[in-house]
Amino acid sequence: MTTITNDQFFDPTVETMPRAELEKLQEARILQLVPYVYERSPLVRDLWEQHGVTPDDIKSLADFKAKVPFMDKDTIRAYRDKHNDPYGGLACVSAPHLRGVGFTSGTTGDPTPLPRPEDNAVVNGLKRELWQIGVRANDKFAYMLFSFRDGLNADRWMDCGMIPIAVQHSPLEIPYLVKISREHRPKALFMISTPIIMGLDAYQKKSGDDLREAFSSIQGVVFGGEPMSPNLRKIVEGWGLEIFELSSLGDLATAMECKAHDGMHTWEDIALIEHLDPNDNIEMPDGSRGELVVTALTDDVAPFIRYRTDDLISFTRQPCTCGRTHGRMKPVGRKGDEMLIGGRSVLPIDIFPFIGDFPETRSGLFQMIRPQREMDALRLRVGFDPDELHDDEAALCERISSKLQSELDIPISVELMSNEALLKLGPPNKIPRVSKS
Amino acid sequence: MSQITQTTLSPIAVGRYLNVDGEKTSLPFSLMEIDRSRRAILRVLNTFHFRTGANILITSLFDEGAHMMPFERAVMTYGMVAASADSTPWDAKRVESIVRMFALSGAAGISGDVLDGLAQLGFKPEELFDGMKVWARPDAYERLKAFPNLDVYRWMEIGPAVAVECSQGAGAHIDRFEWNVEEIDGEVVLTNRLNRCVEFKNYHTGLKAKVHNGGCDCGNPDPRIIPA
Ligand SMILES: [Zn+2]
Repeated sequence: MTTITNDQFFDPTVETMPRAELEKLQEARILQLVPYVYERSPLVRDLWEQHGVTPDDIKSLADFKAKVPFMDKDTIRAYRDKHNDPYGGLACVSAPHLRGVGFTSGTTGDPTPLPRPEDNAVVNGLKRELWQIGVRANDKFAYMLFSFRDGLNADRWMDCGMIPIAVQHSPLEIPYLVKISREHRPKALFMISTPIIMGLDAYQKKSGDDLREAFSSIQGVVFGGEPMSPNLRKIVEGWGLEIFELSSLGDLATAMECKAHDGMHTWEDIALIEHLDPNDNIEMPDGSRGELVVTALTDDVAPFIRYRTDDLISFTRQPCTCGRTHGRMKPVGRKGDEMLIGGRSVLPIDIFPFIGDFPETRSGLFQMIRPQREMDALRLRVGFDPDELHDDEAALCERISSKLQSELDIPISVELMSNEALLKLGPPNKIPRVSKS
Repeated sequence: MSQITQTTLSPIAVGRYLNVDGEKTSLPFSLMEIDRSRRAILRVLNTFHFRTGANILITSLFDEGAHMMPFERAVMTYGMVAASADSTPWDAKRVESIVRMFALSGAAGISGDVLDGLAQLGFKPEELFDGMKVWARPDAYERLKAFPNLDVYRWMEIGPAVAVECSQGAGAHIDRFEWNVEEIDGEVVLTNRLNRCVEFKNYHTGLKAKVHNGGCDCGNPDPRIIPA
């Protein structure tokens, strides 16, 4: 007779595995993976031969981290174009072992193919996340993936008994989302984004419908796609919902906050996580900012091997108060956006919390000017509403720069521009947070 | 009268169907239903003699699990690769990119929205879909049929059911073991014959069509539906 003593975790063995054991598990998977990808992935074979590395050189996790060459989006695209291989040399198998292919959302150029293994690493991680929100077997949850990049995978939830209610991720679907929430009483809402929140807010104002009541069965809502602004957070909390932020783990899985809300758990049995100096290959100290580099540990179809994601994260392996032993990350921005001001890392995320503090700048529009990575002072372009101007532009400039200088402890020069003029610099209602000039 | 009843059968997921008024209505479904539908679609795909390793584009919407997952799984059963894109206008760029990167043997679930999105980007369906089998939804079927070089077949959602056209192009086949299909006053009326999470008795689908019973030249005796 088995008794379940720990209902807190979906997979307590893995989620609370002591670090030494977790590293042993990673090493076991890596040592299986190394000859597999060397034999089967044309890109890996190509790269490793260029660097003079063979599977015989890799006898431990330490060897792997010391010797295996990196890959990134450009390496994969270059291989794809040179060899006319849509999988960019990553695919280790062909049909029928390879069953399907989804794609990244890819905003520029062709989307990157994501060949689909039978065992879906993304869903495997999400089962743990939804469980800790409170979803159990036979419970339903609203399933609103951003895009249909993975084909139809509602049946991949079968082995945890959770029942997804598929809803399209579109503001047009909001009345349907509210309807199924009342009809099926989902335990979680996975996932919402800025357009969905704005749509729900507008729906509530227009219809007078009580979203707090409609969503009363929901124990947690997952937000992803970008950092969440305090304004949006207030709207969602107004519906009585606890928010869990989620981010991509280099396209091979996801990372999500637990109830401690102090970083997103990176599943280190699914991905080998490295946290490196963006311009070098040195491991960054625990708690600092570095580039996320991932190796897929459970993907037998097209695993990324030491894939440099370009994503900057702050990362710690300190155990979490929730009891999980896996690392935690906080996404801070893109590698190409980072500036070093007098040696200090500065990213748009550092500016965000303070820029809306003044009535004139409430719309939160700004741009970091980045002619090069390292600068002595930060030049910041800030949008303002001329109708709200209290004193004059020079005084507003002074108020903003002294606030930011005291918060960030770096020299800053602020240039003002009307919101209207600043918005003209970018796509509709959005401006690039970083600009070369 | 139409009678729709929830049963106690365990669902694996909740999809949706469009009711007679075209409104989205939630549709819990079981793995058995998906697998039976997959087998019915195999009877149709059989008639095309695809080869293992062929690539098939499937454009769909995230909430169409009950309807499109069986087709996707049937493609996989034949050892073919299902390449996925949304059947929305704004995912047309991905559709074009998939057509260009992958040698496709077929494309399924093509909608009017996909065609509109492609047109906005300046792509011509008669060039993109040339040389492959295309299963079009009703709102794209006539538009694609207008191009004599294309090989176009029907893919139809009929309430909770789907119908898929075979190589003979003589109507979309619907699973005769799953559904009792009647034509009443020119309307398709469905009754499920096996256990489902939601049962439909004498369900008046709102679809005006001819129902052909008896054998098809493709060799599949499943009834065929030709919209009026
Ligand atoms: Zn935690």
